[in-house]
Amino acid sequence: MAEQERLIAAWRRGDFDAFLQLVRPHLVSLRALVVFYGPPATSLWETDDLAQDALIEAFQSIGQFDPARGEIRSWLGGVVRNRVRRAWQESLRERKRRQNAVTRAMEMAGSPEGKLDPEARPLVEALRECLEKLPEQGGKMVRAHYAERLSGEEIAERFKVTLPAVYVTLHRVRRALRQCVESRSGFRVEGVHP
Amino acid sequence: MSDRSRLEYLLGKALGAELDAGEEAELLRALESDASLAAEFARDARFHGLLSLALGEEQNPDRFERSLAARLKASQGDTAFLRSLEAKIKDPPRSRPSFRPSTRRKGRAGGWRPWLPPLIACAGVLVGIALVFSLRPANRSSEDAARPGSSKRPESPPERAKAEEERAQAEERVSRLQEQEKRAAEALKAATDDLKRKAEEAFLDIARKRKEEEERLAKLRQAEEEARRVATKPVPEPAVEEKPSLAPKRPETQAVVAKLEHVAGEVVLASSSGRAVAKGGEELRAGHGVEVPGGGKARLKYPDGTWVELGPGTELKDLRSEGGKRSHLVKGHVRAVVTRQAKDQPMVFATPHGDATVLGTTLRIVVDPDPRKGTRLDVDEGKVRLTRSIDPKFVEVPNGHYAVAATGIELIARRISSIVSGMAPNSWMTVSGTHLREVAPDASKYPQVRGIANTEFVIDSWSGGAFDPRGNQLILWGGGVTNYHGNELYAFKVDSLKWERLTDPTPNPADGRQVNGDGTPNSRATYNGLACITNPDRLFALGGYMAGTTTNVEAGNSLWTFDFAEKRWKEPNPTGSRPPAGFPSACSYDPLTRRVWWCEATPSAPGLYSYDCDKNLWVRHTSDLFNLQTSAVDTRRGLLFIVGNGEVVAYSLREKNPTRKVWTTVGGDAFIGQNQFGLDYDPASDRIVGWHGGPVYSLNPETRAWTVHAAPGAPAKTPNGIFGRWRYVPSVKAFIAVTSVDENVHFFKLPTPR
Repeated sequence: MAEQERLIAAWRRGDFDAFLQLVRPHLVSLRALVVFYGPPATSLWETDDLAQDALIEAFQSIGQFDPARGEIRSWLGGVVRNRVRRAWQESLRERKRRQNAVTRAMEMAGSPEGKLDPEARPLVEALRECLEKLPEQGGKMVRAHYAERLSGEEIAERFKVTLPAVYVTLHRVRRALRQCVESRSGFRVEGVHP
Repeated sequence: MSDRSRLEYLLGKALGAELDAGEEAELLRALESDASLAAEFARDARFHGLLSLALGEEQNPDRFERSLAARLKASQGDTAFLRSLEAKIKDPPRSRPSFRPSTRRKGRAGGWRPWLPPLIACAGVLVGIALVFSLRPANRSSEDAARPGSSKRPESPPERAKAEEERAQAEERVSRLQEQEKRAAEALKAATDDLKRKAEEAFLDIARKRKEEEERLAKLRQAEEEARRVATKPVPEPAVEEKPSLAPKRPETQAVVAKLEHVAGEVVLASSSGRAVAKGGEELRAGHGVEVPGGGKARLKYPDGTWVELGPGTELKDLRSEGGKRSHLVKGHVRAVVTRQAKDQPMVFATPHGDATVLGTTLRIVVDPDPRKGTRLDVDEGKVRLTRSIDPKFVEVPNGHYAVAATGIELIARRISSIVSGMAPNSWMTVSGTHLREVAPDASKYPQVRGIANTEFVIDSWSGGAFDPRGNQLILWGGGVTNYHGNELYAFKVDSLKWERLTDPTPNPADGRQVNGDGTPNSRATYNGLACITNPDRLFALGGYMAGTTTNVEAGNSLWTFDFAEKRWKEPNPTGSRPPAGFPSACSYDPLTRRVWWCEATPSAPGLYSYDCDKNLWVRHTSDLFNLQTSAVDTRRGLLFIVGNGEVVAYSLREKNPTRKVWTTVGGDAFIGQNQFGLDYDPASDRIVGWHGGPVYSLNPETRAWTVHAAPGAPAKTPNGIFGRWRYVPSVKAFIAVTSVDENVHFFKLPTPR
């Protein structure tokens, strides 16, 4: 506790290293919050940009954080959720220029019931276990797409399959993985927005 | 594509943000009309984010935090904007083309280009180089005089002084370039990702210039040394005035480095006196080069027997022999067989991306002008050191391996066959540059082996093959009847993915007789009569139709084996109940019983026979008749399968008296109704797998069901049967298919069984 107080004091003096030490244990969950409730992103970079925007806001809002009113994780979650809501509004304005199927699907899914606070680590662990169980080709394709960030065309070229086969495979593997992760973690992934 | 697949395709593509406007509208319509579809898709999209987060993190776990730290630092104080630039230099925005870049980030950064400062630095270095070159003394004539092979030679002390001066200038230039190279290397070290590629390209350019300058310096030093020698010589008697010669100055004073032994198509000989079309037989001296601009080919031979073959589009320049055989391979591809070189006199192929240093081996080098493709070195035998230009890194490339010196590619030795073992399941792969004809004997040297035609009938004349797992090679032997009379053996080496001719043809074959004058078997159409015995490592060959002036001379029951170690044919004359080995029988080797199982097709003495390799003994087990079928051994169950002409028959080889069992199978009628196809067992997927052109068929011995694998890219089948030219290759877990001497070798990998 004394260590946390020391770090908060350093943060008040503008020490971003101290701030980083405070938020480090919660980074994955905060990023997952953006993933689960932020506007649809086309890449991890966009998601991370948004998460970083929120954390920079948090860093600059030290005056609003009162340790007596709750844990830092809850406060950070609140800052991120607010940023995510604003991002949704920006995204919807942008959407007027171009239709987007993903955004529309999330709109149709509606807002979540209850608190937005996913515990990400069990999900990531469940995901790793489920990845091990994938068929060889599907597993390789998923890793090529998400870890190596190859496009559909690049994957088709590497695996000597047609482009439609790549997208169909990615879709099926993704859905199978989701169901596996949900059954292992007990967490239901919802397609909602804040 | 079915409606369901079409929808899955759109859903899959949407999450990669790769839909075009029409597809987006189509998917929107589908979502609007089905709320449950939309709900599931929204969940997929959220899960897509989690996958990006979890798997993206695997590649670079600290990236987010580093980037956040940099942005936090930049956000402090009134100079936040300037600091954010600093942060972005430390952690530049990513720019993979396959993912849409963040628009928000761009807005904040005000169009900042992170690669700009180092690029400016690199440009500065290049400008520096340009200045150095522009400030060089424009004394071409003296430089020409100093160039070896030039018609002018320094012959007096003033010229020696000039040579010394030029050498000193060149040393200074090299020194400056080395300094610039060092600076560029430092910039390269500091650079990241995309920036690194740009810096590497700039660095490569500098390294190339440094190399050229060093070569020029070496020539100048040589010229200076020569000038010194001339200057210290006693002055000759002036009594006889030498008449001026009208003949060209004597490049012949340079020693012959190699000979242009053979040319095909357009080949150019480049020397200091100009360029000329090569005819073959020319002597190549120091400084000479050879270019094969079009679809031609050239072969250089060195005095020690080393030869280098230049393929189409190849430029090999500046041949030297000082300090070992040296040449500069600017582009294209060469294949070389290098005899053992002295340790301090290695053969070196310098390329724009690195040096291949050879002491004695067989190798292939391909140079692509694109620095990202670079120089690829394949080593078939021996060991070659590949040193990269960009840094002092090198790798020893052993036989059966390759390495690439190129921008952004790790310099390591990889198995050549890894390209096959890594191929996608349920796909075909073509191995380029693998026409068997390339290693066929020179027809002009063996006029008597020609039948109706030449090498093409090694395959087209109902000829088979067998896979030798110990040598990791597919063996081909064929010809015979009136088609082709050459009895040479071929092997496709899977380790190096290339053909090799194991034997030369007997020049004067004894047509119509079993044995040639040199003790080798006469050429024959081998059908399904080939197998490889693994212990000892030999080819088993029985039956078929022999070469002759008529088309129906059966080879009979003389068994032949070829010893791969000794590269020699033997006729073992086994005892026991020999099969007549009539047309069209089939055989397979079972490694457990160490026997070749022979399915006899002669009506007068039919049966299942086995040849015991250890006892050199034939045994007749049944009197069943076979006809035009192909066999394969399921090594897991010990079953011999004979398939074709509408039936699947199995014998249990683990029983003392194997008995014929007819299998009822489903889904493969179109395949098993044929004959003379290829058939083999894949132990990795536990399937009997057959191919006769078009789709591949696999039989699950547990369910007795055939599966059709219609993957694209299958080669056209050979008109007169596939036989043993379709074989399972354990080392790459794929099937090899050879269909023509003028067609590349193909591989097929089965889908992974569920």
